[in-house]
Amino acid sequence: MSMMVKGGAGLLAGVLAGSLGFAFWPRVEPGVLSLRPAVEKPVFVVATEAARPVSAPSTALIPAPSMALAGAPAEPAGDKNGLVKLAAALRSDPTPPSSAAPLARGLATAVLKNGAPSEQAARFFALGLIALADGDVAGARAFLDRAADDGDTRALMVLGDTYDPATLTRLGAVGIRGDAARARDYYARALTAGVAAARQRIAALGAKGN
Amino acid sequence: MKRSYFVDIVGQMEASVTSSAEGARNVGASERRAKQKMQNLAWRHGGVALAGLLALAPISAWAVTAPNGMVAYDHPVFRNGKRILWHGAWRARGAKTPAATAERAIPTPAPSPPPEAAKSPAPPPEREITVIAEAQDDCASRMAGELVSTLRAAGLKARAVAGATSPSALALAVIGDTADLAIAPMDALLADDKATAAWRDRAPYVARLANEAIEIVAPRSIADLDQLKKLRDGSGPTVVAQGASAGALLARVGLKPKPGQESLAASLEELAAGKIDAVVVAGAGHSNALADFGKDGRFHLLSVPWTPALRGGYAPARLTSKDRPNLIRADEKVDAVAASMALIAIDAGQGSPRTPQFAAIVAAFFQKFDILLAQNAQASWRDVNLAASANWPRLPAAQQWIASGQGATDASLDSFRKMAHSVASTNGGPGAADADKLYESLMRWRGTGP
Repeated sequence: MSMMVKGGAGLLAGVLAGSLGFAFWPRVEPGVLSLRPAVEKPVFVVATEAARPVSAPSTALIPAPSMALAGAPAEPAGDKNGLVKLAAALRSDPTPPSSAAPLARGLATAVLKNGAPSEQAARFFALGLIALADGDVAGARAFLDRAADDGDTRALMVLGDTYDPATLTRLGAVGIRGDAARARDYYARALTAGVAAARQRIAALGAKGN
Repeated sequence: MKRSYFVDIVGQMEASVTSSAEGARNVGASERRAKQKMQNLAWRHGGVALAGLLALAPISAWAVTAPNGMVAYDHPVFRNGKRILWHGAWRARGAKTPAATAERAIPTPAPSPPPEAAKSPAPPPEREITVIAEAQDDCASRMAGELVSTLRAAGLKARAVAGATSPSALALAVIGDTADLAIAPMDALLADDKATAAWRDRAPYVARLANEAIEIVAPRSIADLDQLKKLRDGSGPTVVAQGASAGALLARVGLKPKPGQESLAASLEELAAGKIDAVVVAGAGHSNALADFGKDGRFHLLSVPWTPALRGGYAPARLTSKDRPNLIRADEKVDAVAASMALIAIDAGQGSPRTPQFAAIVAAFFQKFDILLAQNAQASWRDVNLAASANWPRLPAAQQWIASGQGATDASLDSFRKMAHSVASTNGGPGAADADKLYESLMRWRGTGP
């Protein structure tokens, strides 16, 4: 009898030992062995010295949140004076002056269709506006480009907005810079295509000296 | 005289040989005694073992809680693919992770720090920051290298390495402590149905990056995607995907990628030899392998028609002969799609010892971002709006940094955004009426009526 009790106690001890060993054994993540390591080999040769001397990082001394706000004009001076005059003329007279016509004609290179845009163009246009609302400026441009190609002239206007420093600033964009010259290009094409609101944008760009 | 146990045994042995009968009885008694002793010994040892195990159990249980001055690893740690630290190991609360203990001790959500916190983040990590990008992705590789240079310009130690950025590989990186940042395709992440909310929170994005065009290279005998799908009836075409984004796109258009060579050049060689039917690559950019391919005019790029299924994660792209003179004729335009990319913070979830360190990394990246806008940097940086949002959790440190620089709330802009989100969530995607409403709202925000 005592043998059985002792044997049972020994068996119980073994089971307990096994259970405890199993419970506290280091855990092995499932599937680890079957997955390829994320880092395989170094390939990029990155210079060990500091970043190459590109444009002076003027941002270093400026408080972080305000330094990179979009809006820095990146266009050359070009015929800025002439454009300022054109903007003033556009502001003073709602009818496009004759001097603006050659410029607008020269800029309007896209083949635009008259009448309502196709359903597909409208879909691209809507997706472009959704991307813009998210701040995805590059994505918005991609959709709007396609919409404009498919005949939605309003897309030209909004494409101008995606390059307009004032729009980007109001959108709260950080990092990406405006390009007033390209904005003006798109606004002019939109104006030529019949989007009257573009006139005000061109005037605003001129008023700001862009 | 004290009798020793040895003497007693010797006496018994001497007595046991006095006569055979008596000796046999003595031997039997000796065997019984020896058996008794063995049983007693087993019982004692078993009891001791049981007692020891029972005594150790509370110690093991106690070990689950953090001892003073120690920080728990809640996951195994890998270096170069080898496990160097097991789950449940401890490390001292050292200079590497000064804020780790505090982070673990308070599991409640951390309150949003004031704007001053964004300007004076936690001390940067002393270790080298690792940025991974796919080697096949030329754009991402270059961006990773330039990002590392920028972080170094901010005084941080950093390096760029090649690695897979598919969801499973990023999951492994999160578990294995193998990298800090990744330039990863959002389309693959969004398409991964295994990405749980908990996992997403551990791999939040720092910034949404520019889109990368995905190119499908095939022989000119294959006119379009439909024809490619019908090749090799039964087994399907042999299409090699270079990178996670390429694989995700193939899945979207109903093609199953085949495992192929690791390098784009090797895959293109197989394509030229007729061993495979097509090669799909994302972000090939200025890749020499692709730029030099197809000079004999036998190959071209296949168009990817835009479908509603591509919404979310992709944008349309249009390629011309300027982009690929060997693969697109002068009078041709190829409609493609581009995948959105993001800078992902690895193992940056709540409670991770790494999370506080990301504040310093984010501050360095954002403050020195102008370096990346230089003319000699990758052009993709110039399309990056650091404030852009994505359908993915954002690193709180990045969100706070952006929010601290935003101006007053603009009600008309908020209205435009709300309408956009509402339209985006409609089944089947937006239509012409939605476009009209959105345009009207945009014009109202910009101060000019439609």
